[in-house]
Amino acid sequence: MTKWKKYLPITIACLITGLLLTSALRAQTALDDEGKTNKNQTLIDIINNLEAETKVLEETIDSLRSQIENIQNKETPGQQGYVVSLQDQIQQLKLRSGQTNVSGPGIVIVLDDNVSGAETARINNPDLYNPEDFIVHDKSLLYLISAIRGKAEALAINDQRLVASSDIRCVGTVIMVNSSRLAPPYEIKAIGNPDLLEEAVLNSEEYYFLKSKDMPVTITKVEDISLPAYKGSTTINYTEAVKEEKKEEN
Amino acid sequence: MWFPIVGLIIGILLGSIFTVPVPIVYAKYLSIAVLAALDSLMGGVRGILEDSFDGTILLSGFFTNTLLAALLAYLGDHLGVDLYLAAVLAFGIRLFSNLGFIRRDVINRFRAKRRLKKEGKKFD
Repeated sequence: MTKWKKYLPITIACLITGLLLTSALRAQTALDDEGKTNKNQTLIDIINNLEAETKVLEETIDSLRSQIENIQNKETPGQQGYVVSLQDQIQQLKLRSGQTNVSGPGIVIVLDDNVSGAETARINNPDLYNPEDFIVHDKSLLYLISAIRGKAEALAINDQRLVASSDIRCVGTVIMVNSSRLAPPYEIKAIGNPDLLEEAVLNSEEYYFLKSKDMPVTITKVEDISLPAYKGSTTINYTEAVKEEKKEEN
Repeated sequence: MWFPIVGLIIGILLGSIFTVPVPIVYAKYLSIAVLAALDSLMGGVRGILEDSFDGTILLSGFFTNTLLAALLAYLGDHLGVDLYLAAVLAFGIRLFSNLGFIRRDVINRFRAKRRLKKEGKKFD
């Protein structure tokens, strides 16, 4: 009994110390976790929100365009011939500006990061290992596209249709096309004469360069590829057509 | 003899089960308080080993030290002086010196017991 009473104070102290210890540990780990993720999380949230917003806006553009199309395609009594020819013209213009889903023969170039090469290089000589040498860069895509652009009638990278205003650029570790993030493997689809397109790629400097670096590049001729329509904006705010004065015919 | 250890384990378990929500701002002060509490505990253990243990002194020291340490750190933060370093230093030094005494006491007790056993055997 006396022994029990003797040890009571230190037991109480021990109990409280244990409580304090665990809550302090908890608070400290919470503090560490927060410091690590807090800042990044807000940035990630902002990016995700903006991307979701872009998607919604693209859908709006899409639905508005189909509405316009419906109105344009409405049967109008009288002036039938004129309207039909105008509608044909609109269709042609849309096809040329990349605003319709298209399909046709062509080639598919698949370009991927050299994962196995990077792995062996990292193991064999880690001092010289530079991860930059083994990933696909925006410039590779840009040069390949440039090589075939003249011969292709329609182009797309990973289902992002390339039009006159399309951009291919590097943002940190991702490549952005039409301001959308893409991830490897990159799939360049081109509609046109498959033989000519393949030749153009095979003769391009970039293809040699990629092959010399052992990057996995494959070119396949395809009978029928389909490319999506360009979903971005085509608004022109500043450009005006210069009106050429017609020379007087003598 | 085993009551304090059982108490410590129960305390840790209680703390793990019932999460006492501590605002993150006070996490630092809590850490200082834990250090002070540990220092008091070590003092208590040393007291038990040296037979100079007094429960009232232990408990009063325990509470005042933990509260004062936390308060000192808090005050220091508001004054712009890292006063918590003073608490860490003082309690750290005392903790280690107490640990040293405890080690010596335990070893001495162990040796004394062995000697008694040997002498007992001699007399057999």
